[in-house]
Amino acid sequence: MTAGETVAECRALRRVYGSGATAVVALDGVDLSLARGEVVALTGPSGSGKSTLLHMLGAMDLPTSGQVRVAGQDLGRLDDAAASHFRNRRLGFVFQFFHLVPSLDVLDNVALPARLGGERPAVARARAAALLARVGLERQQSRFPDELSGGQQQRVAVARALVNGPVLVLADEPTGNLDHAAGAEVLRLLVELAREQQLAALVATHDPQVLAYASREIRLEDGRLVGPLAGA
Amino acid sequence: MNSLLAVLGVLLADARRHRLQTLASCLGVTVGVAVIVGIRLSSEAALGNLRSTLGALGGRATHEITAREPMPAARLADCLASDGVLAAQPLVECTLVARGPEGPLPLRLVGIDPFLAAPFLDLDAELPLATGGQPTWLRLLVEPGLVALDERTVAKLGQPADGLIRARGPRGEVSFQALPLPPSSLGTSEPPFVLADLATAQELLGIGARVTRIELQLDEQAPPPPLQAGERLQRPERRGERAASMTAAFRMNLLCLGFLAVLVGAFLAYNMAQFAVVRRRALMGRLRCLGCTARGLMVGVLLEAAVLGLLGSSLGILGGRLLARVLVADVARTVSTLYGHIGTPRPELDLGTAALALLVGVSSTVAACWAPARSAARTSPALVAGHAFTREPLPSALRAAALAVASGLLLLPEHSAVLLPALAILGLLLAVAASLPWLLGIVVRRAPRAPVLALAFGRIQRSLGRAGSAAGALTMPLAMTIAILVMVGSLRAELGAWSEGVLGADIYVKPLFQELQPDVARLSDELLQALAELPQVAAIDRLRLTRDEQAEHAFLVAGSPLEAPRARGTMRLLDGGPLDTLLARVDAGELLASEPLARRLGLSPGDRLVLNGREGPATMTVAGVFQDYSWDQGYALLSEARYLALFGDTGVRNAALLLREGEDASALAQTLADRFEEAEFRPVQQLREEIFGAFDDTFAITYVLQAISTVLALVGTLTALLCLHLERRAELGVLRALGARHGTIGGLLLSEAGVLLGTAGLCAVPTGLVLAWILVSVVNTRSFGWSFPMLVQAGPLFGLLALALGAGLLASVVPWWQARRTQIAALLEDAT
Repeated sequence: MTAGETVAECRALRRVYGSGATAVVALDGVDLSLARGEVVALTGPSGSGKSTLLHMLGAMDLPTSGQVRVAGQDLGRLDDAAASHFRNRRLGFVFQFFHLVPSLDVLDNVALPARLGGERPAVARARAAALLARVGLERQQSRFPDELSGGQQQRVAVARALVNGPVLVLADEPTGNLDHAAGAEVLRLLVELAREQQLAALVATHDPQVLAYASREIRLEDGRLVGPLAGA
Repeated sequence: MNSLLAVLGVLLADARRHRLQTLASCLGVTVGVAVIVGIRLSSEAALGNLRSTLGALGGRATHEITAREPMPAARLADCLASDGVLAAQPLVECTLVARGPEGPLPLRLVGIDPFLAAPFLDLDAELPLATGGQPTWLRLLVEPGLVALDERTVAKLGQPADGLIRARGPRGEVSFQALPLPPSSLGTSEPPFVLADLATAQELLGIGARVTRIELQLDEQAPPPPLQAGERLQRPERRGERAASMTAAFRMNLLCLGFLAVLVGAFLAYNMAQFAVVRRRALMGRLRCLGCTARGLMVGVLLEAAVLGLLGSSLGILGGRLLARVLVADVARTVSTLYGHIGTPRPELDLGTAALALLVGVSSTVAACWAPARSAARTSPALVAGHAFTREPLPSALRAAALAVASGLLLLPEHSAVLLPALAILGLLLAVAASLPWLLGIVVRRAPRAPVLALAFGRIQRSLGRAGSAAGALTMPLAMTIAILVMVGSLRAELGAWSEGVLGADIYVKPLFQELQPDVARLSDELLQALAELPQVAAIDRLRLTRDEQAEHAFLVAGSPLEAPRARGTMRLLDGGPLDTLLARVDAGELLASEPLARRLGLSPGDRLVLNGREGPATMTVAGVFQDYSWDQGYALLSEARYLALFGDTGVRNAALLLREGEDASALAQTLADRFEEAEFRPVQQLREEIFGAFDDTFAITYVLQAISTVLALVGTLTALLCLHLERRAELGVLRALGARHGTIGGLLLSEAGVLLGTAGLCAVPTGLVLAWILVSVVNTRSFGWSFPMLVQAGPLFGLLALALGAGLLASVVPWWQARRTQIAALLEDAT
């Protein structure tokens, strides 16, 4: 793998909900590409299509027209089982409200994607432990999510997103539920890990401090990329 | 496999955090399995005792010869002379009734010839040594009048100082010298065995040089020994088969009740699983987002169900063992009432029952969670971002209707076993449960003007699937309870009418302790003569009874002069013509068939029935069919003369006295009881009361099991409603934030529960009546051969509905109380 290699791209991506007079165009011919090692901020007002774009790249939804390719795979051709497998192996997710599993401890939360991918428990936990050490939470392994602060939970979520070595991390408002300092810590981690592991990260956000950490910005308005910063 | 285990681990970890709901899921399976195990253990124990009362000590016989009357001992020589007979031993068996300090104690007397018993019994191994070190069989041989019995049995008889045991035999009072033995299997069987030399047993029975059974070891390749008229050659296992066939209908009905409990338990598990899927929607979204496939999620939910089923079943087996100890007394009382005294069985858990319990528990839980598992599989991975809404598809009304129709079709085959009607009942219940969301939708279609009611209707409208499940948790068991109440009430009412109409004599006479030895206890000729000479007695009706064992089927044959029907018209005819005509035809040599016999053998007036008389088969014409509840296997009724001609004098089993006008039956019955100790005299009113007593005893176990199912149903309803309310706490928070008062919230929850439960109750009534019709007109008819009209009594019905509704409304108090105690902000947090 080489830095700067394209890992994800959209070509004339279009997503329409409903039909006829009540049709809603969520994405209207989006072209973009994401390269290894870069952290891209995805901005835009509410309803601009940010979440829809994340769903497209996250193999959670199918385009109405156009193409989405991640790691060379056309996501529009995947059935549910293949999409699930792809999400597990090639993608990582970080959410605003963390979405950890409350009944599992920190170590098992991070190991969960590896175990879902068929990895043996011992191997999955070893990998998880290493990542927790990387994000500075090695002493919290046996705690449960509700015993951690928001920042700590988000760092666990970041570690979870990386346990299977994804090529692309999709983050939906990762700092939306954090204070400034915690948010900065999480962003710093994301940038460092993206560089270390040569993965791309797309961060949907309203938080201006994200722009300080991102290598570039993509702005969506009414389902279209706008401004000179749109990647191609 | 690792990924499946990962999903299972997440779900089980979540289950551990929500212990109350997990326990509720297990509770249904636990109770259902406990009921199945309890019923099976208690009925198998009773059946085992019944088998032992019909037979004797186990041995190595391949065949046995029995006859209606004791056989001459010379038959043994005939058998031994036959080429195919490798060994033969004569046996004398009967039941004696001894009197102990705690009441009558039946004893199973077996007389053997020690010299001929060797190929069949290892006497030294089977019998412990008597005191003095002598072999027991030797002492029995050389000491006349000596009978060996377990020392525990001697203790129960009060340890008589002179060692003499006094008992009542088929031909009167007997006494014998007891030889107490150290504890052995003789004393643990029920009733206890007592062993004697053949000659001693013959003397005690007063049968001279005759035997009641000849055991054989036959060469299977050689022809069997020739039989004389009235004799029967069979394998010893047939005795067990007879016990099993006698009680088959009773045990099947018990098992059906047990499976009802399993069904209710499974529905509870289904409800809990449904709510768990809803509660875990976010968790499942996370799993899907992290790469779990839809199929993996579905399999994970089913695996979790299997684990919970295993846990519930294991607890159920333990509970079933305890329940069996409670039920066995009721089961034994019922079997004793219907089929003969069996003493007190001891239920023991066996591997087969445990395996069946695990299979039923796990499979019913997994089956119950199938639909929720499919619902879980529909979870979108985008749900985790809160951007996808999963709308639960409602059960197809068409499928529910098709299921109802298919269930109805199962009732069509006229001669099917009770399994098909049981499946029809199950299918109808499931069809009704599946249609409840649609019915609820109709009820809440138009919102009323009152704001609280409008809110309640709206909440139900938005979650018809789950609301339907909550309503179904009540409808199904309530419908079954109504069905059983109506069925039992109808039968009881009909029994009352029958006993009023048919029991036309004034005093009924039976031998003392007849129930302990129904096959041999008879009224003496001297007693009957004395009764006939009483000035108060206008006529005596005598009942003689024998059993006709045929290859295809066995049935009872009765002979009577039919004085009561002649004098007082006391017989309910179902087919064949007027009573006078039929009685004349019976006098001419035809027979009447009781309804259960007619149904069992497919008999109608004009049909022919072959009876095995002393001199060989005799073909008789069926004159008519009459209604009777005396014996569920049914019987053929002949004139006394025809009976004596065919079967000889088998003794008078019961008698009925028709008194002259103005005589006091109760006073005369008391006088006769004081004068004749060997018989019981019951005025007709007392007999009617005993019939109802026996009926209530018979259905006692039904009531117990129904109570368990009803309690389970109420638990299910309470839990389902609680979950329905608790999952929408956030809505309550919003209402409070908008200014709703505590009273308004309480009214909302009560209204919602009222609509749900009211709909459930209203559905349960017609469903229950349909099921009652199936029980009355199909199940009872095919199981017992009885027909009776269905009678619906409004009082108990509405009482039951009121109880269920009241309990359900109580469920609304808990979430209201919790909401009342919780800060609004905390309630609102449930939305995130």
